[in-house]
Amino acid sequence: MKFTVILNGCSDNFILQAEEINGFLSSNALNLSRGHTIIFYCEENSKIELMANAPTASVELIKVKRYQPENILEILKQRTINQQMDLYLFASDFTGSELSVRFAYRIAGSSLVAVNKLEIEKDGLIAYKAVYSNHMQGVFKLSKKPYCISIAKGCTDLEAVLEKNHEAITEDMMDVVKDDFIKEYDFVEEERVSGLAHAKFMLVAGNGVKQKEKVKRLEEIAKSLGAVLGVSRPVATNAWAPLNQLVGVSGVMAKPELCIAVAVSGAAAFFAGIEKSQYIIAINTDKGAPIVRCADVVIIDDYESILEELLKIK
Amino acid sequence: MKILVCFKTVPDLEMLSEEDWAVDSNLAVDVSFVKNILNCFDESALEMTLKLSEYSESFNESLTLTALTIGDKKAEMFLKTLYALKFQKAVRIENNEDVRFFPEVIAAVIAQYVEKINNQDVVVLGRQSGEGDNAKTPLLVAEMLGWPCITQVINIEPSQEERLRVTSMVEGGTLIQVIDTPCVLSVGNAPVSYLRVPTLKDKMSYGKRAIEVLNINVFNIASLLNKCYHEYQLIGLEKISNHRAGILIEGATTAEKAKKLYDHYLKERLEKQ
Ligand SMILES: Cc1cc2nc3c(=O)[nH]c(=O)nc-3n(C[C@H](O)[C@H](O)[C@H](O)COP(=O)(O)OP(=O)(O)OC[C@H]3O[C@@H](n4cnc5c(N)ncnc54)[C@H](O)[C@@H]3O)c2cc1C
Repeated sequence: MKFTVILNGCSDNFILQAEEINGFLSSNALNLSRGHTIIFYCEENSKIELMANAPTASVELIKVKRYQPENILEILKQRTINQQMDLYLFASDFTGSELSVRFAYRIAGSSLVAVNKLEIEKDGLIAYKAVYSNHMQGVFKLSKKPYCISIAKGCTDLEAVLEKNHEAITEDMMDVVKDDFIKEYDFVEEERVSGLAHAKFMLVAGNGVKQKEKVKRLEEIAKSLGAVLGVSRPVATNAWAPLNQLVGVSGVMAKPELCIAVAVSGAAAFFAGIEKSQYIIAINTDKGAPIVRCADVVIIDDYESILEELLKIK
Repeated sequence: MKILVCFKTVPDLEMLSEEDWAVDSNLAVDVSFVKNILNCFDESALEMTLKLSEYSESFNESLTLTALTIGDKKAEMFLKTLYALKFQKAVRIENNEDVRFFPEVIAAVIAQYVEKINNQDVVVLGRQSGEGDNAKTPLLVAEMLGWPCITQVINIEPSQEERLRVTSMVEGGTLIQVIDTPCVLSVGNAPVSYLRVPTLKDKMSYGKRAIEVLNINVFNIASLLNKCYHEYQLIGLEKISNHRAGILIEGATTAEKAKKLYDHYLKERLEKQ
């Protein structure tokens, strides 16, 4: 299967994208010699590092002013117009899923977002992805090439790129401008990184905490236990905690050794974000909450009293 | 400025018990008996648009808000609420076809509605919804209309000269962009989670208007579906099981439970950290 990987080299998470895609390629037995990588970049001095982390030997570096999807889509179309490609693979972040769908439409291919696994068949591509808000795994058969697939967050182990003999061409496409609907543009950097993706010990709190002040207290408790605090969707969307602390399919997919989940029901879309924890302890007042069956150890009680007791003992 | 918010009502999947997840011969799960709720991203989209509308008044700009849903009669309760919240138009496109995994069909219907029936300046939609979890509809609407799209939107405000100030989440931070319309806005994890509740007075005065119902056949759905079947199909569906041991720690008091947790399950693990 002839494939092209598309990566966003303007983003700080470039290495993560590259290692994730590289892990995906190897776990899905895609032959690297048939692959090609397109990397968009903004900074001249980042080129060497970007190229060194391309999963395939064949690389195309395309310089853009900034990573604006309207421009990127136009460039992608121009650069791939005469290619007989079977598969385009995109990263698991939001830009990856956006590009896969919009690009497929423009080149009259087919797309699927958040794919876990692929199987190549003679007359099509079999793709696995979570559906029903992560309660079910769906199996899809795509029959219209080119297939444009964005991979699912955390669907594979990260794998460092081993390829050493990259052959790269560089193209400057800063003059492609399709974003003149934007009249002002201001990027505000995140105040602090949540550290959740790499946390070894995580305390994660749900809607059952009921108020912002309680989340503040949980921050302190997490700190004194040596944990990083994550939250479920309602806690984040109620603005009780920053959005980058959100855990689950729409947020961080964490892989801690230890996870204490308090006052969280364990909805499937949330649970996917802590599923890879080595050990899960749940504290919930409801014995019937889904988290109870998905945890290793459970206490049925008020989360606050238990945590305060734990602090006394520790 | 004319703004269309598209929303979907979905079964509350968290209410299904383990046994309810049986897959039938059409690769579907029976969800007919659970409560229908607003898809969470669409609920944010609706509330965000209402906030924008209020805020726009101070810019001396009035917005015309239309709410659109594609589905069966169950959605009408929500459309009535939206009337009571002063949406000017509430539209339901009657559909009983299985389009769970065909966002291409939904997007094509929405795009046709905008192009042929009710022209708009902005279309606002939630980024994703169960059961399909396709995460494609807003993106496809943008492509079909040939409009730009901003994803992961968390706030929309009015700006001078009939423009919008749109805040969205991107890797490593947030983007604030002032944009010209037309545009499609795809709403992400916004800190606006609940749709406000209308007052009783508004319910009485506005909530009783007739919902506009259109038949989906007007939009050529048979040929849209046929095209999709030839491009991709769902061929399997199975339950994801996450079960673990679920050992229950019992004790007469909170202190006793906490002590047991610490001694038997936590101490050693904490020491390793
Ligand atoms: C497409 C899609 C994507 C989604 N993505 C995500 C995601 O990434 N992350 C996410 O979190 N959600 C996500 N959701 C939402 C998800 O389905 C649930 O709605 C959400 O996770 C529920 O959050 P919760 O468990 O904190 O709240 P609730 O469901 O309100 O549960 C609160 C829990 O707290 C318990 N409780 C209450 N008081 C106490 C107390 N004093 N002590 C102990 N326990 C108490 C209750 O028993 C209950 O179990 C998504 C949904 C959709 C449709």
